[in-house]
Amino acid sequence: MIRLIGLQPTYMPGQTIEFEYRVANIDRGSIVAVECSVCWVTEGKGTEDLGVHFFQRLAGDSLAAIDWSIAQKIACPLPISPVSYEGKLLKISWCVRVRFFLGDGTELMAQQPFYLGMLTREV
Amino acid sequence: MSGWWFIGSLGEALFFAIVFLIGVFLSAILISWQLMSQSTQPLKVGYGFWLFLGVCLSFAVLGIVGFWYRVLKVVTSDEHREVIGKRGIIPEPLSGSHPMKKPTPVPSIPDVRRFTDSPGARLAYRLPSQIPENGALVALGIFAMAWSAMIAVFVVMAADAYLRSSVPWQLVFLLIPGIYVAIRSARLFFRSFIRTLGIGSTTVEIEDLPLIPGREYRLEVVQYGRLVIKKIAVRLECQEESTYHFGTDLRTERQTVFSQEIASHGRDRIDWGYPLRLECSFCVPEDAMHSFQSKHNAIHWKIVVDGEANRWPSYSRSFPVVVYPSSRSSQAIVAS
Amino acid sequence: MMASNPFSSRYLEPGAIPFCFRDKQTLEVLAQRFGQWQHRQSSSLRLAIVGPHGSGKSTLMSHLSRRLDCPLVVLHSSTSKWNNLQLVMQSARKQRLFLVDGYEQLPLWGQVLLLARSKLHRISLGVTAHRLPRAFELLWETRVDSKVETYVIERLLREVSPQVQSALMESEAWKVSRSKRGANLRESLFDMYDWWRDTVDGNSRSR
Repeated sequence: MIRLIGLQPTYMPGQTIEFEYRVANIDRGSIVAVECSVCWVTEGKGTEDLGVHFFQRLAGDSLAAIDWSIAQKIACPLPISPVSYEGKLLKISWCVRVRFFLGDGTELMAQQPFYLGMLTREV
Repeated sequence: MSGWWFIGSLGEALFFAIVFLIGVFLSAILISWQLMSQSTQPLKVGYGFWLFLGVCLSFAVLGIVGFWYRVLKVVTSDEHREVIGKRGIIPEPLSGSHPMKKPTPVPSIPDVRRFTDSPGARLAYRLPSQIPENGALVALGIFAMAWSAMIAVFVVMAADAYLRSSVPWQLVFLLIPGIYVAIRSARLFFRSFIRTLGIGSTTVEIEDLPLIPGREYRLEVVQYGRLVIKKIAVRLECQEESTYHFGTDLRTERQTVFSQEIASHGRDRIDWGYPLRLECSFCVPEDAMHSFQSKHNAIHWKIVVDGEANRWPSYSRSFPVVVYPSSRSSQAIVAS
Repeated sequence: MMASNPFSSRYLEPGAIPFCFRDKQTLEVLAQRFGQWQHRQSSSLRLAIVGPHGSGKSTLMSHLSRRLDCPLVVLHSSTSKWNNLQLVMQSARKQRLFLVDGYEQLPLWGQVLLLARSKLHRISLGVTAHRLPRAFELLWETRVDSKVETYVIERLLREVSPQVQSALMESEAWKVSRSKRGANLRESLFDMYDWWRDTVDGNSRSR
């Protein structure tokens, strides 16, 4: 089980997002890789687009050095665009995603959405 | 410039088109006579042959050059050509009440440099038109000319065969739809050309770009042509665009989510040399969404000019602009 | 944060909704036709899923690809036919069985080339097309009827109340869209995006 801690519901453009993630009930030795990303996705009538603003992958030696008994901290400044949006044909939403890849091929994912900027609707 | 300019422009274009066709037609007759004739006596390839061929080809060249010179003179205004000519010596925008550093590209927002590469005559930038109407006219003209030239060659071939007492029925049957297409495309081109002569081009100049929500910007719309307008209206519009693409399924949908009239003008007469100038100012709403562009989705902002004129069909021309995130975010861009 | 519109592209893309079989047909039965060939391996097999736009060909093909554990090459109309052919020929060089979604996106001479290679190297193919291509046997013909429509709507709206489902099926927008779109169910589902936004999302916003 993956837990995301410390995320606020709203951030302003240019502000730094800081959060932690923690893993429980997983055999630490079975973790092959961990990916953490801050990204935006479009949703609506069109094909979905994805923009990755921040991406970190831990595998091999960098993964072995991690003490999973403590929460892992991530901090990154957010861009000024695109801001969160709910329009008629499309929505733009931001989220934090953490993926754990295990030795048996399974993949665990935790995702938490947040707003970037004051939510903009079609004017 | 007077009303005769209208008739003169159209007449000149028609004249050069006919000269071009005569050139192609005569060249085709000459070449087919020389190369394809079997029963008739071929022309002697001497001084006279080359002179006649040279005259025919010069007709074709003169026709095509004269025709396009006249058409291109109509579709680009003198002012525009003048400003483009000066572009190299204009060090910076002519005016602009928001002196700011050139913004760096912002993620997922269209690059503003695409919109600021054409300087304006009165305000800082001349906005590019979204649908290059003149480009469509030129493309149609090229097609009509090329098609007519090809048909002219086939007509000569058919006539040559007929003179040798053998009617090439297959070619004749092919020529019937070919001539029909040639007439239709020429007619369509000249109708569009007349419309361009009458309605004329629309130019939009803006004080500054990119636009920041909450700030006020000056705008100048100039309508050229020779017509009596019933109404001309300028709108600021925001449109969402989504494309769904999978396999053979490709579908694009657009929806206007914001539209605000920023200027309008009632009945007025426009003549060559006396364009209609509309000056106004507008403001993008403070809480508006910025421009956005991703692979399949987009949010476009644009200035739309709608016109209704006597004896001409209504027209609508769009000029895209770029809106950046509201002022708090834009300070961050300039500082970066 | 607002709930997603169930008619967004993410829920409608091929494979998102399990394929609805009729006449007690199952994916297993279709997969067996390929399976029987795999045992023989003496000749190549060419099978086609045929049907109109938006009737579920790509969905069925993606299920088959997973079930048979073989590669699926999706050809797009926006990609040049030459590039599409290159994609397919790459698979033809490596695989003895592969599936092609959008066979008609190959140039005519490319189709001939692929068939020749398939016969020569005993490569088996499964393709989707709007009409049965030459030298292919029919594997399945996709059709949209009221049973399929109800099934798809129920799948899409399984997390909302049955009243909303029946409101949608009885709405004027749905009826107009179905009569306009004909066999193309996917297009009708996209049409209902607006209905959901204006009716369901609109109500929740105003509350």
